[in-house]
Amino acid sequence: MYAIEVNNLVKKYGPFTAVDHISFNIDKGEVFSLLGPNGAGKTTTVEIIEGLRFPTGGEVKLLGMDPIKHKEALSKKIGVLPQDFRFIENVTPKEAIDYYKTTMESKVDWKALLELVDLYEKRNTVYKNLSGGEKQKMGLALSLVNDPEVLFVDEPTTGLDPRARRGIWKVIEQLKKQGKSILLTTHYLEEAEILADKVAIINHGKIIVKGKPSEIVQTYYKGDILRIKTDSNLDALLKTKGIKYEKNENTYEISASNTKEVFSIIDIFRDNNIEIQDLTIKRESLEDIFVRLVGQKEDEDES
Amino acid sequence: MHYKAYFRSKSAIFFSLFFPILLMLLFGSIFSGNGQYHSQLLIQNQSPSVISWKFVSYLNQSNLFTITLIGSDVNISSYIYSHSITSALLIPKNFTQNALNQTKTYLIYYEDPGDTNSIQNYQILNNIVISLNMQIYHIKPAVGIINEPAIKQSPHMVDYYVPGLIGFTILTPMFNMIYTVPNYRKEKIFRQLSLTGLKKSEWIVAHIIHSFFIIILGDILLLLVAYEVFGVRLNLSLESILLFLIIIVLGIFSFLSLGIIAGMASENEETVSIIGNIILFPMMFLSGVFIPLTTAPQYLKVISQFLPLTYFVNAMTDIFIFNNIPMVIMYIFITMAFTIVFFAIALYVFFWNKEVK
Repeated sequence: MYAIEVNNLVKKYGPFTAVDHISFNIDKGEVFSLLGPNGAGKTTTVEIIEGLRFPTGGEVKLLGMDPIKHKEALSKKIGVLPQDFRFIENVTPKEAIDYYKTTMESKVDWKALLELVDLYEKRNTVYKNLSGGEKQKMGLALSLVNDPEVLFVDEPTTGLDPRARRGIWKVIEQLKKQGKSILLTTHYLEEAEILADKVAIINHGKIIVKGKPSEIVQTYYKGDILRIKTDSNLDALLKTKGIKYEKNENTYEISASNTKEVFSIIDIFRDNNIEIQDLTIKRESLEDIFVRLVGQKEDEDES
Repeated sequence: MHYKAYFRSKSAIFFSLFFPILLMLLFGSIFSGNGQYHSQLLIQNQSPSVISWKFVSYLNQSNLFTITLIGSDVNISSYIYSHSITSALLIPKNFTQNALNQTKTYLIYYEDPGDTNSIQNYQILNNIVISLNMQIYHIKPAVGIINEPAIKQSPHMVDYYVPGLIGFTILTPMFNMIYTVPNYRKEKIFRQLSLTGLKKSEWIVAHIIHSFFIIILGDILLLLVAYEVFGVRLNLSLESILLFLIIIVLGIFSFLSLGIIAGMASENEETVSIIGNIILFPMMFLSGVFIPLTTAPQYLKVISQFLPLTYFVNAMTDIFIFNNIPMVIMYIFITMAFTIVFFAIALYVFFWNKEVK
């Protein structure tokens, strides 16, 4: 049994299609990332799986159950850190956990939970006086009160500084080691690359590509990118040699499909005595692929 | 968790615990006199004589007026206008001569129709004039009137304001819900709570219990201030306390539910403020919380019959002042009817999540 099964899911709001026939499965113990720009349909998809919205079409199973029909049973097995987590202003993390423990009939150790999310020292600080990162950690702690099998983490690091972001990543990595199934939505590609076992790139309600990050990079990898900074005008030379490039002032970006091609391009510059001020070679990353694929899809949709 | 959050909110503590005490101090200070009527009266005597000064002396001895005299050479109309006088009496030049000749003479009473005392002033002056006439014509009165307190333990005027202020405290859960519900919807806190398995009825009941203890605490503080500072004396038997608790519980259910209904009708902070003020202020002023409606026009009295707070305040008055148990029981049944209706509507309209209710 999968932790989450999504088959041909559709969600429409009048004439607007927010989720357009998407399908994916999440294995137990897996971190699955839904990656996409703002407005792609990530949160809508997640809220349907959580049982907060009705699908227009398709089927969703959460731990083998319908998330709306079995909402009460599933509430004991899932945890949710929503996008823009908010809580009652004058409540401390410890009090909130105690409250959740009562409503969820949980016996979790509040101290261990706050230590896990690195919020123990702020256990008696009211919510409104916590920093952005601390508020997210409090939300994460609350989502773990019932020791869930499946965790939904919706854009957990949006608006946080790099240090706070890494703090949240550390916790998610810990939870992954505990064997929890995690559905992570994010528009930070670095986050998906680091945390996720599998990724689905979504835009305009459709999944463009899905798979392991390394597999996506391998499949859609277009090669290395040479970035050359020079005062010389290389336009004529590159056109003569049939080399495609992009130019930004005195910086040229050239794609090379393999290492041999990289060296032959460098040889051309050497043979033509081109003075190069700076040369970098970059492997195309998931971010580069994402930007390319999303841009391509938008171009296809427009045409 | 709710108690701790509540006691950290300075505005919540102020409005539910200290504001009613502030009102008690205010009303108590205004109405803690012995209840006797008193008004200001300007007098110009243009016919100084034994008779006219005797008349002024009768007015003074009645202890119903604080009299200010102005000289007969002053233009009384200009004086009234420039000094914002609302009540003045002119004894005309021909007063003494007409009185001695037993010829009809008229005193001129200058009144401000906006002054609520003007009617009473006129009636008092008229009665004193009648007494003066009887003296002039040597007539002995055949029929008189004496007054007795209507209830055994004669209350002071300030005592009558306490039930209304207790009525004010019962609005606390309503204030609370009108602002909490839209705020929790906007911040998606309800959505958070829905994912914990918490039922909406459980959340409502938790707030009812929380409100009960806050209101009881507020009312105890209010009564302590009323007793200690203004010497208020209310009927505090075991029976009255039990009836008080029953009405409080019904009131909390009723007004908390009304607050939830109003809160669910508010889409944003702007409409919260509008809806809150539309419901709360008319109810406070038309239910007898601050002022009795005895002299109000009939149509306002009719409107007050449709307001749940009216019966709550009336029940408090009958419990603590008149000890009228049959009326209290009737008010309990009426309040119960309001409670059932409001609570049912609140449960129907209240949802954690707009789409999947």
